This record gives sequence, structure tokens and C-alpha cells, in this order.
Amino acid sequence: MLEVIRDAKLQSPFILFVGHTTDPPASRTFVCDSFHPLPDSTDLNGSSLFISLVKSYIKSSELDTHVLCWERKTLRQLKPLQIQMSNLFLHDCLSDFHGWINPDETQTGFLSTIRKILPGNSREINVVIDSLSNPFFTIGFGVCLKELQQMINSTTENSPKIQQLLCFVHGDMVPCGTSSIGHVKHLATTVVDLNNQTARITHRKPGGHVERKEEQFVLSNGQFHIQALAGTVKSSVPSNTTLPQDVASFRVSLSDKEKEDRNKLVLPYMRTGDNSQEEGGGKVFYQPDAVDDWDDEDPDDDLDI
Amino acid sequence: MVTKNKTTYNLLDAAHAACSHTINIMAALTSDGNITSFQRKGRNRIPYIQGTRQSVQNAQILVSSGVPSLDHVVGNGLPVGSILLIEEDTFGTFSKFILKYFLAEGVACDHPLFLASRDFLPSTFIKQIPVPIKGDSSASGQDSKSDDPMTIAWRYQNMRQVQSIPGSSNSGTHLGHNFDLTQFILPEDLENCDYTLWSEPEENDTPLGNFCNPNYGLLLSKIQKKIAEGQFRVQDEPIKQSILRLAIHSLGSPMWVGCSCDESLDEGVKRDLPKFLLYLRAILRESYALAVITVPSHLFRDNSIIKLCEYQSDMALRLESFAGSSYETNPVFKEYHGLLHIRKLGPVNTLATHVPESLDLAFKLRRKKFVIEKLHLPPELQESAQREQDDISTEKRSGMGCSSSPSSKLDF
Repeated sequence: MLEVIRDAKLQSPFILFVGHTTDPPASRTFVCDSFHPLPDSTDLNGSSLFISLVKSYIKSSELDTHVLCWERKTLRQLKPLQIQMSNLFLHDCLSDFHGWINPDETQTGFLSTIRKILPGNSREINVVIDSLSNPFFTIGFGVCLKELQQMINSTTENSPKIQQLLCFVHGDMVPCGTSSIGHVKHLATTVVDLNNQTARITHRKPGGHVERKEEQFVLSNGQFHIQALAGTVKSSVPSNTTLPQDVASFRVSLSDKEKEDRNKLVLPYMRTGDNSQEEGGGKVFYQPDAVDDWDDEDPDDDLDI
Repeated sequence: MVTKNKTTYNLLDAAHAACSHTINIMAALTSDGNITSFQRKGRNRIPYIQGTRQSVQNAQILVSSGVPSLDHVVGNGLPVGSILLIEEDTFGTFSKFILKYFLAEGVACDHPLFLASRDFLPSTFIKQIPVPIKGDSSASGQDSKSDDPMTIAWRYQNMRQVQSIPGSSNSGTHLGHNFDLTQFILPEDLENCDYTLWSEPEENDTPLGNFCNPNYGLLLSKIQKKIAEGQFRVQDEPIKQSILRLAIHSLGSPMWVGCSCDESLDEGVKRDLPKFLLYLRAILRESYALAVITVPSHLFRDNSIIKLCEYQSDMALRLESFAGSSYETNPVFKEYHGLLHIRKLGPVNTLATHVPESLDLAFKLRRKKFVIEKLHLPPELQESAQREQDDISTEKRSGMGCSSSPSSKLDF
């Protein structure tokens, strides 16, 4: 699934990557990034995978890709690519996010930032945001969520249609507590939970079906490779065992001949033409009657099923 | 207590009073102000409104939700003047279908519609509402009984057939239609219906009540305006009486997060959402209108939020979809798409609530039908020490169908 996303072939308007940290706090690595002074939250693997994926994504996508960089690392890594690729548009959102240097740079939203260097003729674009954690604080959580929704629905007037939106967010760097990550996930059509070296993917298909997958990835030389997950070879589910004829050790159905034979059976104590002609003597017959003592209960009621 | 209420008389108290005197107001709704409980049969001055029926139990005007089997579960229909709260499934697929059916039923019965959502564009959603199936053939198709008379085990011949689809047996006055999900409403038909859409607040609106997030108040004032303009209030006397159907999608979703949100997200929802429902219920009680509201309850961490919402609505149902969960592949639920949990069936205009036949309900979605059924477990055919039913009943699933204790085995 990760490879499908990398090749820009997954039909999903909003793909969200969530980076998680699994290491206990004591062994957390320090990442020297000017914007992450905390002993980091930011899982290296997750964000590296994302950058590597985005690089290939830009190459394989035919549409223009606008990358909103809220992290220095992303900007640094994608700069060289900008020279080669004409369909890549980089937005440095970090260096002056509050318009202190240049008042024009004040950020009010994602779309207004994109519009600053948007070629006039572009109709459909892809947007990559790395990461959402910073704008959640600088622009505001509610505003960001609303604008993400608008971008997916393409409801804003005089802006290009956004074909696909790829976002990365640090799972523990969201305002209003870590539980609010659920709100961001709620908007996404595909959620990739990155945890150490595994990616857990939940993809919502347009029809309402949900696909879940787990993949293991290895990063080497800025490329990632998918490995087979160890120990997840599922025992093949025994096929269709709910029909009685499939599981019974004998034949359940009847042939026409057998049905005919069955109908010939005469129940005991039944008065039929044959035995009525026999000579007298004590004989017991049973005749179903309208005023019979019927019990309406289920005949199998006494069985403990 | 009463004197205190009089001194601090504000809108909230008015709303409280409106809700606590439900019976009186509902009586006024049904019998044009004549609040005696004994009435002569047949002397009924409520004008007939298309797509409605009067309840035999409480003389309440009922309309169909658009899903006939759902109507049966909640008591033959949704009472006018009430709120049905639907707690969405995780991915919101089936709750959207229920809203579509609710609106489609409105179109079929010529009822005015009101659709509000901040998550999707109401203008695109309303174009996707399905059309009724003409010449309902589903009822006649089921009568094809095997005409093979039982000669040996003849006592079983007259056994009652198991009715899993509720309400399919009583074919009397029929309320509601079945809809074909593959066919969308024709644009010219849509033009003929009276509908109002809301997704963004309009500029010159003034919010009602003092909500933290003004959007709740703005939606409420829009609804109030619509009810007043369309003459849906009880005291109004329009030329042709109709029922306003309000459908509100995903109230309290991430799109309802306020712009100035400093504290935890749950706090804002907890303060606004139950209050919104209370205000809305007070408005609906005195109008010929009813609301179906879906809330993404799986996003609320605080359990008390949904409890408060259920308290403030008349009926509450929870959808649990199997999509993406382990039940999807579980053979026990092979036939179904999800479970329907009845959270609340409030007494409206009566002292006793409607009690459904069964509380173990499951739903399945077919192209031409959305059916709510009594949950049946398939026959156990595999010989295994642990049965599939057992591991479900151990997982604290209250009210599951299997009544046998885990220890009992099928021994012959």
C-alpha cells in the first residue's frame, strides 16, 4: 500500500501520516531541529519515511505538487529536487510564520499560502504539508481543520481543485491533548500510522468499505523498501463452512427417487384403506382432529440449544 | 423551586419548562388544545397530512424515517416534534445513508426539508438522495413457500415461520417507502421540493442563546426562522399543513471546533451540544417538525457528553459498523453490516415507552433496501471446543443475542 501511495496511484483525497513514538521516555533520541526543542517527540523513522515517499511521489505524479514546509529538514531535503523537477513548488512556511520580518508573510491558512506562488493556469494540484503540528499552533486548530476539509471538498472558490492532499503530523504534537489526533484522523480518507518500522494503514474506499493493512518498511539511502511482515501469515480460513451440505459427512439432500420412497411410508396407527378392511379385533388408530390437544410450543423447546 | 424559576426566568428555563411539560404540549399538538385524555373515537380534528399516520397508542402524529424496519423498531414511526439522535458509525457511512433515506422519504411525501452539515456540501448531498422503488415486489416474493407437505414430521407443518425482518408481518396501513440507492433524484424533481440548506452561517444572522461556538446559535436561529416562515408552528394556520424534516449531519464533528479553542476539545462540545439539543427540542415541541441528528460519538473521549445528548433527545440509536473491525470477517455476522443499539426510546405523549420485540438488532444494506433485523446467529456446524458465540459474549457485549451460558454445549 505504501508503494501505491508513493507511485501516486492510490485514489484517496486525503492521506494522513501519523508519526508515533514507541520508545519509553528515557531512551528518547534528541533531534537537533530548531523547532523541536523537546526531547523528541518526532520519530525519526516516520518523518524520514514521509520525506522519502514524497520525493518519489513528486516524480511519479503528473500534476503540480505544492509542498508546504513547516519543518526545516523537509525544506533542506527537497531544495535540490526543485531544480530537477518543474512540477514541484516549495513553500517555506517556517522562517517567517508570523510575518515579523515581512508583514505580507503572515499566515492565515494553507490555501492563501499556496496562492502566493500559484501559476495562473493550474487547474488541479497536489498538496503536501509537512508537518501539520506547527500550523495547528500558529494558525489555530479549528481553522486548520476547517481548511483541510475545504481543501478535500474543493469548496473554496477561485482556487484550483486539489487532487490529493498528503499530510504528516506528529502524533504527540497536537493541541488540546493527544486525543485530538482523532479529529484529524476523522477527516482523512487514508490514515497511515507510522510506528517505529511498521505502517498501519486504514483506507476508506469511496463505497464505504474499509481496508486495513500492516506493512513493515526499511529505510536505506533515502529509499524505503517494504518487507514482508514476520509472523502474520494467516492460517487460511476454511472456506464456506456454514452450509450444512458442505460440512455434513453424509448427503443431506434427497433425490427424486428417495423422495418418492419417503412419501410411501405409512405412519403407525394411521387409518388407511388397506388396514380398514382387515377383520375386527382390538386395533388402535389415530386420526388428527381439529380439537386435538395441540401445544403451540416449539417441539424442540426442551433441548438446551 | 417554582419561585426560583420565576425570578431567573431566561430562555434556558423556558426550554426546561417546555420539555418537562411534554405531555401537555404534545396533547395540544394532537388534539387542538383540548387537553382531556378521554375522547370519543372518530372525533378527530387533525387535518390529514400526507405521509403521516396517527399512533394508536398515544394519538401522536407519526412519520416514516424512510427505513420501514427502523420505523417498526422505534414504534411504528417517528413522532412529530421529537429528536432522533443517531450516534454515527466510525466511518460515518451508514449514518449518512439513514439521513439520505430520511430526506428521500420527505421528498416522496412532499414534506419540506432542512439539511445542515459542515462536513460535506449539503448542495451535493441533496442531489444524491435516492428515489422510491415503484411497484414494491419485495413483499410478494417472500411468499413462495415450499409446497412440499411434510408427511412424516407433519407436526412441523404449521410451525410459525421465523420473522426476522420486523414489521413485515403487519401489512395494514403502510407508512414509508423503499428506496433504490443506485438511482438519484432527478434534478427537476429536486427543484420542485422545498428545501433549505445550511453549511456556513450567513452574515446578518444573530446567534440564539449564548453558545461558546456561535455556529450552534446561528444554526438554531436559522431553524427557528425556517419554522416561523414556513408556518410550522402549532398556532399557525397554514393553507396546507405539512411536516418539516430537519436533518443535521455530524453535529459536534471537528468542523464544529471553535476558532478560539484554548482548552480541551471535549469541553467545548460538552457545553454546547447538549444545550443545542435542549433548545432545539423546545422549538420542535411546538411545531410540526422533527429532527434527525447524527453525532460522531466515537470522537468524544468524555463519555458523559453522549449521555447528556441522549438525555436531551427523545430517541437515540447507535450504529456500530463492522467495516474495518474484526467482526467483518467473523462468520457469526456474515450476513450483516453492523449492529444497531437502541440507547433510548423516550416516552412521548405517553407514560410508557414503546418496547421493541427484540433489542438484538443488526442492519444490512442492500442496493434496494436498508434492513434492520433481529440478529440471528447462523447454525453452529463446526465441532470446536470454543464456539464463536462464546468469544463474543465474553467481550462484554450487553444484550447480545446468544442467551445460552458459555458453559452449555450442544450435546446430544
